[in-house]
Amino acid sequence: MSQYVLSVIASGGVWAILTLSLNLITGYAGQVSLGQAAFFAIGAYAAAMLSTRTGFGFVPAVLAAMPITGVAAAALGLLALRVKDDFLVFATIGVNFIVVAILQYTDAFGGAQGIVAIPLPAIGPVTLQIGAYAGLVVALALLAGFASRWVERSWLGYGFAAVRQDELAARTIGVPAAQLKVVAFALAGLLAGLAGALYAYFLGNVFPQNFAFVISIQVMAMLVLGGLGTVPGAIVGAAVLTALPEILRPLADYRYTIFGLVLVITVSFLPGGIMGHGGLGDRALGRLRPRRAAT
Amino acid sequence: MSFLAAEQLSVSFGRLTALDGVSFDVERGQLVAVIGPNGAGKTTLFNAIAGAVRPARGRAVLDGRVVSGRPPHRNALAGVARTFQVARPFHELTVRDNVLVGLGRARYYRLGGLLRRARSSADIERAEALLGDVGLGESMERLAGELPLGHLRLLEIARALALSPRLLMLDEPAAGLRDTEEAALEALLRRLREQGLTMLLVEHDVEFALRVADRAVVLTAGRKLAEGAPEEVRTNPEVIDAYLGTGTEAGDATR
Ligand SMILES: Nc1ncnc2c1ncn2[C@@H]1O[C@H](COP(=O)(O)OP(=O)(O)OP(=O)(O)O)[C@@H](O)[C@H]1O
Ligand SMILES: [Mg+2]
Repeated sequence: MSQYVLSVIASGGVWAILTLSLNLITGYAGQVSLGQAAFFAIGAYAAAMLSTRTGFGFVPAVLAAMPITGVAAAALGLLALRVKDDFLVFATIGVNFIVVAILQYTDAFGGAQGIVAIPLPAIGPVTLQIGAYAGLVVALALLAGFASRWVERSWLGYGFAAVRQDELAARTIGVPAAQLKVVAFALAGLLAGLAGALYAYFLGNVFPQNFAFVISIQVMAMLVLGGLGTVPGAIVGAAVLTALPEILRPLADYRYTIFGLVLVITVSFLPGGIMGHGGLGDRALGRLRPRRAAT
Repeated sequence: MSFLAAEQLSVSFGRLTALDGVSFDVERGQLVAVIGPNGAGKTTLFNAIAGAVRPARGRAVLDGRVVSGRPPHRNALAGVARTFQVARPFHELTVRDNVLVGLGRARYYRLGGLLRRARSSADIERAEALLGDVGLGESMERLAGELPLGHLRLLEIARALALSPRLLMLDEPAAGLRDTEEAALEALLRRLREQGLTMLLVEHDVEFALRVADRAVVLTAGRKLAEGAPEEVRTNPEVIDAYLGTGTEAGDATR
């Protein structure tokens, strides 16, 4: 495979992990976040700074970026306790802009020059070239998918489903809604931190504009297209929207227009997404498939 | 001391006093009907006991422990269960899973419990047994959102029973039920009482409520008007005046 194809695959894996992260908050726990790029940025900058300024290797930098982002996301999750529904959407958008502005105007974070010259990823003495890196990222995306499925089927997943569908009813039967929302943000932070760190090593340089608001829209488009609340949906949505602008090269310049269009068209005509209930998958099988619970 | 005590409970919404210094006692294992016209404050009373609204004054004490003003999920763990006047099932979950969520209880509070897989065979068996008890054994695989209204009420009862409650508050469980379903509900309530469960029952169908209850509390406009055995309440001139009227249908007004 060409370098180009491999790099598309690697970036697709990163987007899949970030989409799975959003799926935890929005798909499972029902808290709409349009600021996922903020968490992505925190993970990327954490890894980039640890590697260029403190000499952390690739693996420790990635492993450190995850809890750092998890803690930051949990703190922002407290927002979800104060504001609900539409207001949470506005608040998370605001957080996205604030994080980008802080990165842009703070010298400690490299300002507009960003953080450059991140070393190539290496595990022990072995430097990962793009092929190996793409393989690693895809493997981690699948791992993130399995972890998400685990959550979905655990008591935590049932608690999320209950909170998403009726918060008062959930609390009435003993589900601690507030705590679970913070847990959802924390877990999503771990995955966003992983995605961000892998992205930083993939790019080699990170700039504030890599994490602009359009990225949050992009991830939402991927999740909604694939199917909100489903692991296969998150992965398929990320894969399709990563590949589409590459396959239709002339469209590449309009990629953010496409993401916006996909979002509008999907929510209007295929609210379940490709892999969700009532989605193309279900329709193809003529509703023969029994409906899955707790998703 | 009584098992459940409402002590001067008052709840205000802005300028409206929905509950005004209501006190009564419930003994362990009793089924107490709470009746009164629309807007009397019956649902608000349940909300105050469950922790869903905070009383401006007074408190509710269950077995020596204050439950009013505490978060509903904490009260649920302490054994306070309730159903809603307007059913609130988890629409996208199957009937069985609706009950399973309630069986999670304490597991939501420990990391080890949280990450454990739900749907152990023991829990599924328990959920199915509860659904069988309320008469929903046939509908376990259906999505809750597809159930008719009457079945949703039964589902809410099963979900509440999943908490192994010490107090069960039922807000108009008979509304929307057909006659045969109502008879089944009555039998269920009698069974639960025989098992020693303490219950509060809000019901517009006064005849139904007074038939199954040990005692009744009558509210109007946020105040307690009367309290006593069903027969006393039924013949209390004040109650007849304010609520039951001279006819028989007064209590059946809506819903
Ligand atoms: N959340 C709320 N906000 C504002 N007012 C409320 C609220 N809940 C109840 N009320 C008001 O408080 C009063 C008592 O309402 P409540 O629902 O407790 O009556 P109820 O006895 O259950 O009546 P119904 O038989 O119609 O169910 C009503 O005037 C109602 O409009
Ligand atoms: Mg009511």
